[in-house]
Amino acid sequence: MNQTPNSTTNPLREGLSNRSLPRPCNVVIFGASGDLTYRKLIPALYNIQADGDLPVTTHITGFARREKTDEAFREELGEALTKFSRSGRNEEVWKDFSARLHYHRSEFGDEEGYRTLAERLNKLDEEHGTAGNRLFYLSVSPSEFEGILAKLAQFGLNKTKDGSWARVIVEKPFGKNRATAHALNEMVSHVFAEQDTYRIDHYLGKETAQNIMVLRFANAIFEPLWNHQYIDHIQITAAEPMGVEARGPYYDSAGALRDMVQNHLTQILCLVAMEPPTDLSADSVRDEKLKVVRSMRLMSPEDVAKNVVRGQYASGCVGGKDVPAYRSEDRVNPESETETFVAIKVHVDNWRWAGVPFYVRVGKRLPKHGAEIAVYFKETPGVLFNAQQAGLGPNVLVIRIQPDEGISLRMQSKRPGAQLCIESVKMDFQYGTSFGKPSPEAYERLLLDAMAGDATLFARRDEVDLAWTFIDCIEDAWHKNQTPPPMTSYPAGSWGPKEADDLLAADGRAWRRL
Amino acid sequence: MPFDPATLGFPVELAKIPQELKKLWAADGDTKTRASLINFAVYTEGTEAFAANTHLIEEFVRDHACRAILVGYCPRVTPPKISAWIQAHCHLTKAGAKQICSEQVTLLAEGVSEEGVANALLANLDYDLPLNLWWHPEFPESASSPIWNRIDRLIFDSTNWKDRSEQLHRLHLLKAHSANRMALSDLNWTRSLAIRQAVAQCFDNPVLLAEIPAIHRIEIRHLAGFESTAQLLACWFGAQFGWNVSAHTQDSIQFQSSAGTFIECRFVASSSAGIALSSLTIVSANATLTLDREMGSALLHSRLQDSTGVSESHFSAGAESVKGLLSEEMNPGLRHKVYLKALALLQTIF
Repeated sequence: MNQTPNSTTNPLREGLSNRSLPRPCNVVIFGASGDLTYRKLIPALYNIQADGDLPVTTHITGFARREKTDEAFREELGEALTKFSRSGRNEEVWKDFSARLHYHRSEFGDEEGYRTLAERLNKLDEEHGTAGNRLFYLSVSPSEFEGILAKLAQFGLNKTKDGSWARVIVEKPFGKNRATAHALNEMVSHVFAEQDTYRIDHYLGKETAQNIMVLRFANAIFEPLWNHQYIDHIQITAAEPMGVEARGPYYDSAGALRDMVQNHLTQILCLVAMEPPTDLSADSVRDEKLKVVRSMRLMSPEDVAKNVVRGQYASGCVGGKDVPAYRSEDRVNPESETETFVAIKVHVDNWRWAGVPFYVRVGKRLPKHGAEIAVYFKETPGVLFNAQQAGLGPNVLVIRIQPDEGISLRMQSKRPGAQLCIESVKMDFQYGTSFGKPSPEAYERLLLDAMAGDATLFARRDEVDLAWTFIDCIEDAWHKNQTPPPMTSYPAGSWGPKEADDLLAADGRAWRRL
Repeated sequence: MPFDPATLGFPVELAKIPQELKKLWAADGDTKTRASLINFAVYTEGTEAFAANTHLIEEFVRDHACRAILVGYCPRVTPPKISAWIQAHCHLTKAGAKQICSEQVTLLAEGVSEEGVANALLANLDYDLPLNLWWHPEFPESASSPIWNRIDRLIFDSTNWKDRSEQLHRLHLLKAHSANRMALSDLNWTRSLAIRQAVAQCFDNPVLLAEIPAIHRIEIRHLAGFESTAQLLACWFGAQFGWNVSAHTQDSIQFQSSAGTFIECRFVASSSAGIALSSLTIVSANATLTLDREMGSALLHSRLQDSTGVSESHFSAGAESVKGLLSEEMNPGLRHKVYLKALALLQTIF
């Protein structure tokens, strides 16, 4: 039977792409001389264009302090692209793309700079039909946020015309604790509404992170087992062999807990532990993630001493090279008490995860680069094969976030031959080889989503707030406690302090070797 | 193009294809990785298109790892035999260290029955992976071949149909035989995908959305030979807006809305643009939306004139090449259902 179309739904949308489409806009990058712009943002926007997904009238304006012409900016970005773009640099695509790049020199606090920026964006709107849509990317230190946001508001750059939008993407660190995050949120909310604020966490843009929900909710075999009845524990690891590089001052004031756990690893934990959302809208997904953060058991100082290990790397050898201790790194306090490694036993106090610990660890100067989630299933009863051959080991489902994104499942199999000998084998799925094409970079997906108005992969204010509440308990136990737990040490190139191994050994478990 | 077996790889015995494929991979050690997510079969008649289709497969597998099976059927040849060849299509991964490869099996079936061809094809599928079959010839009169209830996605191009009514009748027969599992991918429908996506985006605008009941004229300009593409597009509007066909001529369809208003849809053949669908105009009481694409441009340009003024925008014009159309069809979605709705309406004018 034919139906008259409902006046509020677009009947032509039926059956077409189920993702929101990016709309033409002007992207303004504050901090355009920074590393992130050259290594990630411009290569990501270029690759979006190369894939044909960048709306054709989209223009990108870099806002920074250094004196530079449009041409010089384009030339520098072109060179960076050759180094950092996943698809290399195609001259035809680059010619079209570079014509859309502009440079706007100004101090972040200079009113004239914002007045001329507004004029420039209005002109681009008129010339290219971008309809007043604006995406501001704050790739600057949080100390600059307030000044930039105030000026954007002063010159009406946060105001939308009829049917257009103005959005802001905010890079981490989003605060230093709950109080500063709250203040930062307040500051942003005075200028941009929550639905126009995109707190970026590049881990969520990674293909495997996005696949966690698909793996769990699009396959019939995992979800029935995804609970305390069948899962023994879960390990989440983010390891890197690099030291602090040029980020000494920032890192020394942040540490591994704030730099990685508050955002990336908490977000990953949420995706692993959340209940199925009612639908795939941004808020439905984020509502479920929020419930997980709310269920993460807050720790007393005694709990922190028992369930958290912090460490700092001493000198050692990584990848065959001798490397200095953390305290000897460039622009790091020689008496620093900042952790470069942290291991936490997290309890998620809800029906699904009662009694299932989540062991989370992150560290610098570890032997390998890698991030993964390992789901350890409970062992089979000690009869039949388990009775004959002790220590067969559990089934382990590993979701590799980086590098070599993919999923593997460890299971037991009979070794060929007359003797009954059982061995662990691995079923392995790799994105790179299975789909025959590389996954897009995380920033590509996230920038596209921000242009399309899809906030699913961005952190919401309440998530950030609650994640800080969890982190603050640990930070307070370390820094505001009369008898703080000791800072441990580990040689660079090792898998972290012995105390981290002891944390799991006390529960009869061990960390997975990546 | 004359048939050149050298372009098809190594000749192998039909019964030994699996073993020969194993040998092919074993010989390359660790430098190559075989990847396969689907079976992609291309069914043609004769051998003329072997070279072109092999080239197409080589391009296709770069984005869609698969086992490709190219079939050439020559029914009136004696003695009956099936010849087979195998080859690998490889490309370097991002890291450049390993090559990702897909395999192609080519079957030349001469003088055997349709069932014989189907059996040879089915016996060489990569097990447990869906079968996407691109059917080049006209559809057969009967669905007796065992292949029809094994297909997950049937790809075809209705632009090539000589007798559309008969082909549609046969398609329904095949679909019924497949017990509804088979998804339909008409490349003729895919040709209008970019324009449908663009126009759908334009109708996200509440001003234009409110104009739907007031639409009274549509004009679609198409390349000569792509009348059916334009008609399918028109019927998409009809199906999605809840209109019925009230009359039609060779170059127009008159729709009637449920409120009783008439909508004139005109098709204008044009040879200048070189693009299957070069422009679309939708006129309502208070707005006119035009989407057009110039030759050589990768963009669709939209112009909306309404009571508030004129606004313009650009959209990707999408794929025109066969490889591009096939790639679009590999993306899963709900198009099948919408296509069937448009097709049902189109059927009323045959």
